[in-house]
Amino acid sequence: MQGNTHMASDSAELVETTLRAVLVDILGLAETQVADFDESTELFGAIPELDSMAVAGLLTEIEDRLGIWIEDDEFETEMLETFGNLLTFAKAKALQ
Amino acid sequence: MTIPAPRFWHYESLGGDQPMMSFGPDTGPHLLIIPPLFEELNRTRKLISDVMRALAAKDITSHLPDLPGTGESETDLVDTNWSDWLNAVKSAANACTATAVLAIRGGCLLDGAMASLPVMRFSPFEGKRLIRDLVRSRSLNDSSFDSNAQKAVFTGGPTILGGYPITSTLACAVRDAEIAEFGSTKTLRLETEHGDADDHLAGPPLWRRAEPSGSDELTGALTAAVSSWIA
Repeated sequence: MQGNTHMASDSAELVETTLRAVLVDILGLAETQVADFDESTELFGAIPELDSMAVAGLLTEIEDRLGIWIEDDEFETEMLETFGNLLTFAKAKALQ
Repeated sequence: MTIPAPRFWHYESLGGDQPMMSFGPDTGPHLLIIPPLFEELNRTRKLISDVMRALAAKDITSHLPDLPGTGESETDLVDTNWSDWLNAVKSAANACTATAVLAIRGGCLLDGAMASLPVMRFSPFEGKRLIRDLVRSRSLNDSSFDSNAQKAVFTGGPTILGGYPITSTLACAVRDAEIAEFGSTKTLRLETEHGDADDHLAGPPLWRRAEPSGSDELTGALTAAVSSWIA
């Protein structure tokens, strides 16, 4: 069991690292800015680079990098409200 | 050092002239590039022409056709279907006497037409993801593009997606298109990408950027991968 717990936390960390990298690569945000993001950091509506034009590219890139498929009815704007919400959603999809 | 100039000419397909851009000498290997589809084509145009220029400097000739109904082609996209594109790829390959193929993103869905030549794939993109990305992009930016309108992409239409009028026939064909499996392929992906690959390249996913831009890093990596493969 110990081993499994370790693997799960490693994978969770990988999801988080991937999300931060996507925000840097797709929105052109500075790595230092994204490194400071925590669960409560507001995204959609708070970061000018994340406008509605950028959302589709962001979602597809997250899918590409995590090897997941987000159904249209799974997507709610709420999941882009904070970095924590996005992370929770991505972990649930990627680690299921 | 002379900077290689592009050559603009035509290949024949669908009973008309279709544009082709070529770089490089007439001697040496001839690389046919099957470009990404729809919006991703616009976003990767600079990358592709930068790579073609860099290949020409290494005496590798490359050819970039516009598929009928895209780019500078005078054919209407609504009059074009998937098999027309497969045939256009074959016609373009014949016209430029291709000895190898580089297929990029959605272009990899069309390289099955070229199974007799060595094929290098860069970041192959599944058809269902490609069309869904276009649908999602519009639905997030156009509130009138509701779930019925989204379904109509595959039953009604033509629907404007990423600036292109896409018929339901073409949308269904793209959605159902699979990456062909045949022997002589090599797959490249970005280091950050998920999926099987023979080799990974450093650089940004330019096809996701709303503002088209180039990348010296990716141009260099792709040029090096293609030139060492083709040599």
